[in-house]
Amino acid sequence: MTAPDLTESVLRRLGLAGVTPGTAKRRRRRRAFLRATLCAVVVGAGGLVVTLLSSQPQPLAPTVPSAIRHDLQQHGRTIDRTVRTIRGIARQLPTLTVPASSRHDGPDAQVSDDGVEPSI
Amino acid sequence: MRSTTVIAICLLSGRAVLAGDPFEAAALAPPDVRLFVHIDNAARLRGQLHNRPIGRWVRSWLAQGELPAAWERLANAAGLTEADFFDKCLGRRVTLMSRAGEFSSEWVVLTEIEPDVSAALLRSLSPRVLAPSNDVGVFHLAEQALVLARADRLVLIAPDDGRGLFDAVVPNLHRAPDVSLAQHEAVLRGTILGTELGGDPGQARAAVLIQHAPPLGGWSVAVAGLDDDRVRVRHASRFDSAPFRSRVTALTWDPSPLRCLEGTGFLGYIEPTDTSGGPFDAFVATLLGEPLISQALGDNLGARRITAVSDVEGRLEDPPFDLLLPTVARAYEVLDAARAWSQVDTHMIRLVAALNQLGQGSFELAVPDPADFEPGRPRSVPIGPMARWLFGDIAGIDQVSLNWTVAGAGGAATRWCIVASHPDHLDAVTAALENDARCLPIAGEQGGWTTSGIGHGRRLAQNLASWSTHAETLAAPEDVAAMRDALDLLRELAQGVDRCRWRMTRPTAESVTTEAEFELSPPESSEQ
Repeated sequence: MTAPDLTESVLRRLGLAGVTPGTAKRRRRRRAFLRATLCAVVVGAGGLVVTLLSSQPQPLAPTVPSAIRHDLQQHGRTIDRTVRTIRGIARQLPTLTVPASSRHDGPDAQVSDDGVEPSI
Repeated sequence: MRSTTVIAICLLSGRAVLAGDPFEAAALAPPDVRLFVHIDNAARLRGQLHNRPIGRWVRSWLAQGELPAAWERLANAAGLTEADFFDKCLGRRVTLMSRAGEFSSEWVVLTEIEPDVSAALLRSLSPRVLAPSNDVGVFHLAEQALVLARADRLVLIAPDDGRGLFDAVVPNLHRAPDVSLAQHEAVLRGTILGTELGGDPGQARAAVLIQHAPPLGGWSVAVAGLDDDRVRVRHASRFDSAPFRSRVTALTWDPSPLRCLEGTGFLGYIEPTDTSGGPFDAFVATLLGEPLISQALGDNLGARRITAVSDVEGRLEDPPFDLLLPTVARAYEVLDAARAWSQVDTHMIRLVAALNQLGQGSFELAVPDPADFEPGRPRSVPIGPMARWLFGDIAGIDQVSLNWTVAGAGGAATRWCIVASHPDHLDAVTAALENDARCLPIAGEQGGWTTSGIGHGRRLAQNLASWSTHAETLAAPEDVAAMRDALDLLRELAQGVDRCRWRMTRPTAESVTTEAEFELSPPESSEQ
């Protein structure tokens, strides 16, 4: 009775001999499967992160606080402009306190520096 | 007595304790809160103002900004209309508090919402739940950049980027602090004003407190109540540096003659004569070299002087013009009518001569001759050229005149020396003040008032509308649009108030109190 020849299999396991086509095919499939799984995990994790980040609520302009700030500034400007406009009507009155004695008597009386000589 | 009792209660308790006190929330506020605004029954207030012109003005004012859009989005997120969301969130008792923060002002809104309603609203809005603070649930509504805290019925709202005041108030929601805004002198005064104002618990009421920044310093506090179409206001201020230029009156007088002027113009006010000598008087004296009131006439003055502002329809003038030209009348109470005639005649002649001198002859005003005056008849001197120089090229300005008379000389209880810028206005004021029946004193109206006045908003609105169409006569070409916007803004506001009355006193040189009443213009639907 002869003993089985294990030389080939021992050498293959030691990496000193080539693998059979079937084994090589199996190994290629396993590597391909592992790469595909790894890619899927990376893509899935990335997607999850993106999804989580995008679902975090972000302030939508204008928010109520920003609108209040904006409106207070805008209405403040409007009121300020209104007051300045109304003051503009009376602006000529204080300049009239220039004493009459200091007014020009000459032919250029209508174009004095303060510009408030009688316009009639 | 009642005021003293209220102060005693407040001092003993350390905070406002009256039921329905509009300053109740001050007990939760830090002492450095500078602005405190509280509204009771805001939903009712919204409903009462909605169809009135004043409500329309508020809406159009708000619509110019971004808040309506932001509010609509927030309301929609809660599955409600804007009005329903307002009523649910802010419709009962709501308080705005603000203070100066490190970089900008910080504010919070404290509102009262039934727990089941606030829970439902929070479910709809889905805020992020943050770690509780002092056993108070805290939430972050990132879409609106708001933080919220909820403790039983109280909900505190603040912006998430300036939450210093929010963090200071949150611990107080369960337990009021020992030191708070409630101990401030202004809160105690406001509580008293609220008690004096009265009103039923369901009434819409508002309260405002401001701590003024230097250099003015001090504080102002006011409470207001809306009763159908009537807003009643009580106000008090105390300043570190008072902005008043006039003296505190030493007179006790009766403002009832003001009632006679109802219907004669759009503004009228009455003052004591011992507070005159302000900037206007100094301006006239400097400009003309003559005092506004001569020494002789001054010695003959009674306790009161009235200023009335009205307008004349330019289309009825000769020549006609398309403008409601404002007219001013001033009535001085005099002790001796016969002496007043000669005193005012003499003084007006001197004033007209002084005006001629001011214009260096170019005004060509006719200085009246006393021999031409008819005894007991009103006098009139045209001063159109001077008015044109002073106010510019305004339609109808040439028809301005200086008119004067003495009213009540025929035996009326009170005599008045009246000066007006138009003869029709002089006649109207004279007729009103000679109507003794309407001018009779009312018991309890005597007081040391600083001023008392009446205003007619809708008549003022008509006048402003007239000016709006002639804005180019008031402003430089580049400012015409701004002038028209300003006039329209004021016109719409005036349109919302039918009539108003006020009385002001100055107990000391640094303090002032006001009682005012505004009759709102009726809802637009009922006017049609």
